Amino acid sequence: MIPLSDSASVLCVLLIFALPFALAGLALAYAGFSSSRSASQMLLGSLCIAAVAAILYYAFGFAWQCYPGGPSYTLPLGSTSWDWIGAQKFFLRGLDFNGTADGFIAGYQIFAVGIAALIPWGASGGRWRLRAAAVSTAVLAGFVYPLFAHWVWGGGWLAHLGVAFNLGGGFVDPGGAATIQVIGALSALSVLWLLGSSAGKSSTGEPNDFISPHQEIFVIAGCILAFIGWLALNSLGAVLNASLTSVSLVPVAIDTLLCASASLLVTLFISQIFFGKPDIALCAKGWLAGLVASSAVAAYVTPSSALFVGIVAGVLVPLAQWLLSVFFDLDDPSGAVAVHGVSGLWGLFALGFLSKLPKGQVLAQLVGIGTLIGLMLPIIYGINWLLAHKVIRFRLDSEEQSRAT
Amino acid sequence: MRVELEVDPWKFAGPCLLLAGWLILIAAIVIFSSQGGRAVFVILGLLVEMVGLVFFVRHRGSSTGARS
Repeated sequence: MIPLSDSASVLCVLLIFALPFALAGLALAYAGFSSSRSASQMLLGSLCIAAVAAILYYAFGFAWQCYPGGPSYTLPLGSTSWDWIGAQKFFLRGLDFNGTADGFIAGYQIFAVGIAALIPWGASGGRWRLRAAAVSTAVLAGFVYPLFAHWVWGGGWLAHLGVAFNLGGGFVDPGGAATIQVIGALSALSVLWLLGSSAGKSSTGEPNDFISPHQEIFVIAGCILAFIGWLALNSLGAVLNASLTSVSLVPVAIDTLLCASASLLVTLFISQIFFGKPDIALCAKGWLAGLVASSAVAAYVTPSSALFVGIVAGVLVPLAQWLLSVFFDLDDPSGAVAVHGVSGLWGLFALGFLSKLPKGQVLAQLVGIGTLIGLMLPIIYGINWLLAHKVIRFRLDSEEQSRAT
Repeated sequence: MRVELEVDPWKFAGPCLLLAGWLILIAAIVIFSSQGGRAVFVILGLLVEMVGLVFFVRHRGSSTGARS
């Protein structure tokens, strides 16, 4: 691979060092969203999940994901070769950390996979057995995440939709709205379906009550920390996945802030209308949803477009959480599916028509979205279903939940 | 003696429709060369996926929570 310039290398190192803020912020917010008796378990579990994800990604994940131009397996179909999985050596062997982009991609992704793995854990709200979560994370970080990441970031078939089928610039996901956020959200959706509702909650399709966060300070502190991490996430994505130079990162930071700000203010306005006062949980979800949507668009759109994306994300989050609760019978106190899933999908779609990428970009984005829902959801649900029914019991019973504190 | 199995035959409709929707998407971009034809079938594929998602939710079977 072509080596990065010295200044770009220093910038990438600093940004990689800031990525753990996103992990810490999400872990803190999820601990705040959960019930008081499971908060410490949520925080410890977050550390364990990030640890398992990092080790499995180091051992196998990066080999399957690989990097653009790296070794890969292809499937010839018609006149096109479908690049479907990487063929790098396991345990990061053959990777020289000598200033080329592949070394930085490995450093970036080992943290990013932890963020994706944290989303289902945060959604579980203390109902998920930690051992089961670790096993599920191992599969996610060791195979599922790298598989999709290869398609998008490793020179796989989704990235080549532009070259092979004249669909814009191919499926574009600079900051990981699809690969990190939506994959994490689909995993959260599968796990929540398998876990069922919390004790005392409806499981018959009746509307569930929203749980207020037990520790609002944790939630707000988590949102602030997450913002720092997200700036790093979006900037690194812009440099490594969208080939932007370091001077172009200022608009990326502005877009990230505007998107999150607009989403927060819209949710604040909505909560003021419906509850008569600002609802802290909803506002925090709005802020996080804006950050998630910015991961898709920050590298490619103007500040006013980022503002528009944030406004729509702020409307979508409360609406999606209500719909998921009422019609999908989803007991998701942290709103992980709405925040990371719905907002991520919206950002990916918006990128198609708001960016100045070549003609056909909307279709490329729709194919990516269709692949997430139509292919990745059955794969992720199927793997978790097998784990839950054949390998390890997923759910803590109420006595174990009490002891977990 | 007749043994009745508690298997919901619709349980597999959701994942099958999701995969069918994805295959329509892929077929659309491979078969058609015009953007219009592709757009129609990509949207059709997404609609099939949405129907699959509804089936998935309605007939996905019991959660593991019932077992513990």
